[in-house]
Formats: sequence, C-alpha cells, structure tokens
Amino acid sequence: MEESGVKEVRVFRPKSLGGTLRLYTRNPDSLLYAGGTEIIRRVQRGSRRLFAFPPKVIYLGNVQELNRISRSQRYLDIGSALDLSRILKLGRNVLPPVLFEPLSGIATPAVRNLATLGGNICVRSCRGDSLPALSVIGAQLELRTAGSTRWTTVGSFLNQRGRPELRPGEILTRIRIPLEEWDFALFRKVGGRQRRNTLSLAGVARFPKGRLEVLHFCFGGLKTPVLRLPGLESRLKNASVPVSTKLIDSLLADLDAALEEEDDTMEGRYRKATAARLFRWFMEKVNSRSLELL
Amino acid sequence: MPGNVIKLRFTLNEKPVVLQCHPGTRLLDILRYDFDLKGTREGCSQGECGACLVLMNGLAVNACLIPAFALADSEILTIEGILSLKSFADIRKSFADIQAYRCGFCSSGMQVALAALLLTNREPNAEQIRQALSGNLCACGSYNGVVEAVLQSSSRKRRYGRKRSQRS
Amino acid sequence: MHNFIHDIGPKRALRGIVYRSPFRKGKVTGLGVPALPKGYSCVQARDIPGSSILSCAGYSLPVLAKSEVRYLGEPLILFCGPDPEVLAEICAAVELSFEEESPVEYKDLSGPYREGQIINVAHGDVDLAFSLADQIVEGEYRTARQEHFYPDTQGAVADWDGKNLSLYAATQDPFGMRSAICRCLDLAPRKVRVVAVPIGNSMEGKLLSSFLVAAQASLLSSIAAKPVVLLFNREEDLLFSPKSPEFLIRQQTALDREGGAIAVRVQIFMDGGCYPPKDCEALRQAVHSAWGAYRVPNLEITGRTQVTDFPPIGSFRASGRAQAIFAAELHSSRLEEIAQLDPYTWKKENLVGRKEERNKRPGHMALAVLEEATRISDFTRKYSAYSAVKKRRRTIDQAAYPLRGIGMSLASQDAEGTRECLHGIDETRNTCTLKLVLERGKRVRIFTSFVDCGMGIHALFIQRAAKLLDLDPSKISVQPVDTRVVPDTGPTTLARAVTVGLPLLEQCCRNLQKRRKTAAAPIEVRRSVSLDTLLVSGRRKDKSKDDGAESAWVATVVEVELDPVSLQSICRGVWLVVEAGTIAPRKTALQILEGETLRAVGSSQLQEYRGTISDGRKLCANTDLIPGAEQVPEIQVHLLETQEGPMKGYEQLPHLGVPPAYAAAVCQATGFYVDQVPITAEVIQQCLEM
Repeated sequence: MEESGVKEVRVFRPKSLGGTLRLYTRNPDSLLYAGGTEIIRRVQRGSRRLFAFPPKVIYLGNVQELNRISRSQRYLDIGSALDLSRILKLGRNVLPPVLFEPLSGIATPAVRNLATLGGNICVRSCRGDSLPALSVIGAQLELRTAGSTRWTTVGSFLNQRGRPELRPGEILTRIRIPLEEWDFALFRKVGGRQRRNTLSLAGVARFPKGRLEVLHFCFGGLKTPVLRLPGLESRLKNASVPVSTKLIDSLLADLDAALEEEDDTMEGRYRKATAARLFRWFMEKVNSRSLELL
Repeated sequence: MPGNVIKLRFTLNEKPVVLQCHPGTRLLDILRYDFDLKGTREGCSQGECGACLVLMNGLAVNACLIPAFALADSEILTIEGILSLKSFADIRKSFADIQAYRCGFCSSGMQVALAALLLTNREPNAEQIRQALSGNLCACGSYNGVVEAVLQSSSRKRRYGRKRSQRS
Repeated sequence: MHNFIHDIGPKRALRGIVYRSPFRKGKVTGLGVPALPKGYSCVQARDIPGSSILSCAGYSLPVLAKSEVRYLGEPLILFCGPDPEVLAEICAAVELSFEEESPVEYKDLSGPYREGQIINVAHGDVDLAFSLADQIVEGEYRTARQEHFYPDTQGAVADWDGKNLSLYAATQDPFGMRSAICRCLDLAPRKVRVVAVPIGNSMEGKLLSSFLVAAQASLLSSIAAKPVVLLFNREEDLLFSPKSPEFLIRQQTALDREGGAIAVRVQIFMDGGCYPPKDCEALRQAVHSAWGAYRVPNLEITGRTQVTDFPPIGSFRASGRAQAIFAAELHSSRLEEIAQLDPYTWKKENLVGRKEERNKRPGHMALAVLEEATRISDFTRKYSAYSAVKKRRRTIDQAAYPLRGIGMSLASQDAEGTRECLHGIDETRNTCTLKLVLERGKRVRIFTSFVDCGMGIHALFIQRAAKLLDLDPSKISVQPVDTRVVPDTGPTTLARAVTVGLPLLEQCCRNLQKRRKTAAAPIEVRRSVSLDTLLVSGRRKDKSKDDGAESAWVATVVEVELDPVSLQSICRGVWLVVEAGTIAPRKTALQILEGETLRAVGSSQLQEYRGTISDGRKLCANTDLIPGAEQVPEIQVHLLETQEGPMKGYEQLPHLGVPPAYAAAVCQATGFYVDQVPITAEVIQQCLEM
C-alpha cells in the first residue's frame, strides 16, 4: 500500500487558442477544464480533500479567444469558456430571448459565475438547458483542432445518446448565434432544481400573413436528450394560424409515438405525459401570439 | 517542483498570499485548513447550498467547486474579510441588523451573497434580494427575515440620504 | 459567527473514518485489515470495552456490527490517523468476505412482516357500532420516509488523555450522550465530559446519529490516545443517517344516517427499520393522535412497528403525531364531502362531539384557532369558489381556469407528550435540574443542559430571568453547556424547555430574589423536578376525556395552485393560527413558526427520500427538501395569546398542520383523492392515470 494516495496532476495553463490546440494534440488524454462546475461533481471523493483529477488538465480560463464575445450584424459569437453571467449581461435585447431564458435559469447565481456555455453544451446532464434553444435558432458550433476548423449544428454535434461527437484533438471553441427576428420565441423548463425530472421545450416561429412560414421546436431532458421532430415541424409548415385543435391533436398522437422509448417507470410516464402537455401548451401560446399579430 | 505541488499566488482578504499545495485542493479546504478561515462552511459539496460562498474577483462563487489551479492571481474575499475590512464598511451596514438567522449555519454564505449584490446595487428591491439569495439554502427558513432586514436598511439609507441633501 | 463541529478540533488531532458494509444484508465471514502505517489505529467490534449497543430515546443499534449486517453502510471498522487521504486508501484496502442475503423488498408496509411493538387503544364497542352503521368510509394514507435535512453534517471531536475523555459534539442531549459513551467505553460518568457545540436546525434527526458518531470518535481516541476528529461529509450523512420512517395508516369510519361518525377504527403500520425500537414513543404518539382533534363514542386504534430491512430509524420531527394527524385530517376531509359540509363546519361540529354532548366543556382553544384561521384566510369564500370551479372542470390538463384549492387542518401539540418525549433514555436520569448563580457585579448566570439550537431557548430564559429579577438582560448569560459544569435539565426540545425548564428557572429566580436580600454574592440556587412526577401525572389522564386544554393548538390553511403542464403544486399561501399559552418573546416565536412552516411546505411538496432497499445508493436530493428564497409563499402566523396558562411548546405545530392542509388543498385543486405526502408531480400523474 502506498504511503500516500495523492496522485500527480499536471495542470497546463495556456493563454492562447493556438497554444491550447497544440497542447491538446500532444496530450489528447487531458481533461479540458473551464468552469468545471459539472466536472467537479465527478471528481469529488467523499471525505478526501483533493479532487481526483486525471493526470493532465488543460485549464481554459486564461485562453483569450475562448473567453470573449464578438458581434456582427448577423451573428453573435460566444467563446466556449465564457461564464454564463457574462453572457447574460448582454441582456434580452442582444441575446435571443429563447436563449436568455434557459441560461438565466441554470443552477444558482454563484454557479453561473463559473459555468460556461461550452460546458453546458458538452456535458450530458445539462441537456434541458441551452441545447434545445440553440437547436431551434440554428446555432452553429465551431470545432477546432491544431490543423483544422469545422462548423456543425447542435443536431450533428450530439449522437443519439446525447454525447458530443468530437474528433481526436477537437475542442469546441465558439458558439455562433444567428441574430434573427422571430414572431414568436418561447422557452419553458419544468421540474425543480432536481435533475431527475426536468424537461424543457424551446420553440421559435414566424407566421407572416396568417401562415406558419416556419416553426422549430425542440425538447430537452427526455430519453433522447435533445429531441427535434422534423416530421411534426414539416406538418406544421404553411399551416394557417391559429393552428386547429384537430391538427394539434394529430400532432400529439405523433408525439406520443415518437416518445415510445420513454421507460415505463413512474418517472418515465411522467416525462412522456408532461412532454405532451408541454407541447399542447406551446401550441396554445403559438396560437395566442398569432392572434395578437393578426 | 514536483508535479504534486504548485505554488499559488493570490490575494486573500486584500492581502497577498503564497501557498504551496496540490493543484486539486479545494479552495474551501485551503481557506478552512491552510488559512484557518472557518466562516466559509461546507454544506453540500455540490455548489447547491451556498454555505461556502466567497467573492472571487468580485463575484460570488462556491468555494467547494474551485480547485487550487484556478486560483492563481485571483482576489478572494471571505466572510471574515467582508466583516472586517474597511472597504466593506458601507456594505456591512446593510446587513448588520439582521436578526433573522436562527442556527446561523447559512448566515456567512447569505452575507457573501448579499455583499455581491450590494457591490453592484446598493438599493435592491425584494425580488432582487431573493434572486441573489436563490443559491443559499436555509434549513431554518429565515429568508423573509433576511430580505426584510436588508430592505429596511436600504429604506433607512434612502431617508438618511434625503435628509443630508436637504441640509446641504 | 458560531463555531460548529466542523470548525473546532485541536490542530494535532487525528482524523477518523468509518469503514462501512457495502452490502445490505448478510454475514461478515472475514474482515482483513491492511497493515497500518505508524500513527494509524483501528477499532473493530471486539475492541469495544463496554456495551456495543448504543441506545438513545428508545432506539438502539450497534456501534459497530460484529458479524451480522442489516443495512447498507452499517459501520464495521473505524480507522484514525493524521492524513485523510491515507485513511481513504486504508479503507479501500480492507478485505471483506461476506455471505450476502437478499433483503426483503416491500411495497405494502402492512404486508407479512415481523411485528415489533404493538399498541392497542380502544373505548366503546367498535364492532357493534360498525354493524349498525349506515355507511362505512375507508381510506389508506401514506407518509413517505423523508430526509431530516440539516445543514451541518454529523461529527464529533473526542480527546482521551489517558484518564478522562472530553467529547465535543453537536447534540441536544449532552448528559444522555455522556451516559451512552460511558456504557460503550465502560467508564464512570466522572471520567467523561461532554461539551455541546452549536447545532444546526433539524436537530431531531441528529439525536441517534450524534450519539453514534460520538461513540465512534471516543473509541478511536481511546485506542489512539490522541484527539480524534470524526466528521461525515454530505454524501455519507445523506446515505447513512437515520431517516424519518414511512407510515401506512388505514382509517375506517362508521357513519350514521345523518353522516355523523359513530365509530372509528384505525390501523397504523410504522416502518421500524432493521433495528426497530422496543418501546417506541413515536408509535405511542401516533396511536394517541390517530383520531386527531375529534371525538367519537367508539374508537379502536392498533399501532404496529414492522421490522423491515430498511436502515435504522431514529427520533424524528413531531414523532409519530404528524403522521397520524395527517391521516386523520385527510380522512376527515372525505367525511366532510359525504356530510356535504365545508371543512370549518365539519370540524367545529365534530370537535365538540355529537350534538347531545355539546354542553360538555369543549377544547375551546381549538375552536378559537379554527375561527381565526377561517377569517384571516378568507377560507369560506375561497373554498366555495374553488369547489364550484372543480365541479365545472373536465380534466386538469385541459383546464380553462387556474387549478386552485384551499385546505384546512386542525392539530395540537400535546404538552404532556412533549414532556414524555425523550424520557426513558436512561433509567438513572430521573431528575431535571437547573441552577442559577448571582455573581458579583449583579451578573446572573444560568446553568442548564438545554442547548439553543436556533430555537431561541437561551434568549427565552434570559428574558424571563431579566423580568423576574428586575435586571437588564445584558447582565444575564447562559453558561456554555458542559457536563462538568451544568446540571442535567434533560434533553432539549423547545417544548421541554418551556414546560420543564421555564418553571424551574422561575422557581430559581424567586428563590434568588429572597436570598439576595440577606446574603451577598455569589449566591447559588438550584431547583429540580422528578421526571416520574411529570410522567405519572401525564399518564394518569384519560386520553379519551382529554379536552385538549393543556395542548398547544394550530389551525392551518393552505392555498395551492397546480401547474397544469408540470403538475407541480405551488403553494400560494399559508395561514397559521397558533394558541400556545403566553408566548414570549413573540418575535422569536413568529420567526420559528414561519421558518418551520416553510420547512413543512417543503416536506409536503418536494422529494421523498429514495432510500428504499432497491435503490439504497441513490442520493436524496437534499436541496429539494428545502424551499429556496424565491420559493417562499406568503406565510401569515397569528398568535392567539391567552392569559390563562403558561407557555406551551409550539415548534412542532407547523409540521402537524401544514401537510394535511396542503394535501386537502391539492385534492380540491385536482379533484383527486391524494392520500400521501409528499405530493410530487409524479404522484399527481399517477392519479391522472388511475
């Protein structure tokens, strides 16, 4: 038995993105650490005072490019290691309301001073927060290695089980938010601070001249952690607003079929039923808004 | 220097400090055991109860969530600093009269949260105070008393402020 | 700033750790302790010099299991040493051989289990009344096991110097702890000193586990001959501390043609856990509260503790009474519907018994609180309005109007019961004593074993003494609780402090006033009361004729709104009207009642402890037992003060009144019979599916 169980941990503190990418290429088994608010829970070890980090950690808190916001007429680019509080300081007039709501509801004020948007996207237990909103507004994710850059959507970034699909040496560096006008934008999360049964629904729509030109909606927190239903969306395309009760009921039947895989425990049945209620409520809100605009 | 140990420089309660420790040491334990600052308490170890709040670069954070390597060159203020430093005298007035705490376990975390709020907003309303305290759990349920006390203090300051301006 | 148990401890102290069984049930066939580095020690069950069974308030469990393991996490070995990292490695290196047994899973607490204690209470002829009944109403009510969440996790600091043991512990019963440690370590009481450290809220949940951790720390210190600090982290505390047990209560009521109750039969099943108490005060309280505030000519109550494979239970808040009153009040709401009476009218009529008995003296305080609660909450109007909406509604998930409901309950905290509470911990402790010393400079010091624990007990004593001695409160202080210095006034609860401690203090003050006229400071006075005297006088009373005049009363009204999407109930308001004698200081009482009300709302609507055998490793979501600052409903607390009697204990009242009123409100809001607490969204979903 060892005299001491303390493991050696080497922490890299790069200041530039280029340096970070090169480091990560040379040390692909490193843990990337920004706010760390979710990672920390996993490296807790009961009564021990030291976090059980892996042997190598790359601390992203000082990497300038990952901690800034830039804005153009069409997009808002947010660094993946920027903390949520600073993002929220942009306010509802700059940040799309459908994204402002979930970010402002994450955890507590103190945790939001540490947690990052990049972390919220990459960590599986956070599926009910920013991802549904990012999905419906068509946010793009920049993924970079030392030698390449690619952009992808939220839908392509996560696999069926909600895990990020990253290539070797890839880091999520920026989140690009399109600054588009929507006639309707809504986010709602149900469930308390408990992680067991939180569900969310984000949606945006445009309905010029009494027709649904586009409606995107996305569930978070179900068995498929980020669930878009393009089939239902296409059925609503060009539907007249307010949407008829008959169409909504038909959509609910399709939704029920899509949620078949929810497990048959009390919690699974609750999530499935709540998703249906949430969708009905959402469509009622779409209808109310369309009536306001008519 | 062995990989187990890093040399940390940061500011603690307005004093520069240097510490050698394992990079994975929790800030909470650094404060409590290396600096004997017991006011920062351990409640849940998950960043949910707020008992371990400190100010880091002016923002309230959970000390149970911060590893040593994230501390370098930071400014850390604990409840002890907030209760004693001259720079916080004015802020202290806003929560000096709170008698709502019962067992007192959550009080230091709550006061750090209030200090963080008052640094940017000297006359918060009830909703803002509650939001600032939303990360603090009080098992004795003393929230209303705390909110009331801070509101009354703000209201006294507003009245006092008016009188001063009338005199001048 | 207080120093809690985690804040103290000499720098040279060793740290302790508990090696626990990773299995739920079975027999240890081999336990291989690794070679320990210098400066590290261990304790196993065979090393315990005295009794290996710890007893506290009627509950008992082993300090360390010998071979039989009955629950996940049962302590097997203790280690201590300078480095917590090394201790964790030592625990990881223990080699355990085990014959595992399957724990019995249960869904129905009334199922075929071994029975522990049985208590029967009856009057009248229940069988005959049921045979003559026009209608029989049945109901089954469940209160889940719940976490006692407290902010400061368990811990103790023990220092054995070779001859004497000093123990620092967050406990409400330092003398009880001393007795338990003496038995465990086979030491005379004069060799053990217990210093009470400030204790966070929800101290009831800590009583048994504080004794256990203190015994473990003491054993380690005695072996290592050095101070030892043993602290549980949050995960350990949540997983392994005793919980409030589950109750299943079946109510049957026989009604006459007019809908009046002529007989009540109640069966109470209490989960006694794997180490069920032999003489369970909680069961006794449940049995005696089973028909709540109401009279009925024929009554039969049977209470049982079931021996299950659930982890040990310990003392818990409102001690069986809350669970019984929950069932009684919720059952009465069914009877209200059948009788087509609103809750206030039904309670008023049944409180005074049948019509022909109305001339007899009623529990008039009960009526007073009921009337005031009805008035301040606008109960009658809201109840009618929400009932009308409920009738028009088809389904709750397609409701056109907000889903609101309002519920009312009536409950009492029995003054005698609280005197009995925690008595019998130790047969040698038969006397409660309080001491007062007038020092030079007209300063007075109060010596008592009552700790403050956020209940304002010390402030109450200081205020009372200041008034009686005509002194400024700043001249009066309470001696820090140290068993070497203070007398044994018994275990602390607010109720005992006011019903036992205050009278003793008053007697001391009066005696001191007399003596200071002729004697010079320092002057010491003591007063004692025998617990047998209190206990016998309490038990002599015929409970069936008890008019409740000595109890503290609460009428509670709760208004809720149900979110039709998430099915979560949101508390819109709570109105509490309390009668507890001449309460002082008022401000403290209001703060305590408001705080406990918020806790009671939390335990009515939030997470239940998922500590069932099958998911024993799941953590209780502790943060979901305590509402946050943004979730505080409107709470109004009114104190009805009478000048007739002394102050009574009142701290349990919100936990007695809120859950049934909450459930009744949710029933009205949803149109379902919700018969359990906590009422989570999943519970409402289950009702929808039925």
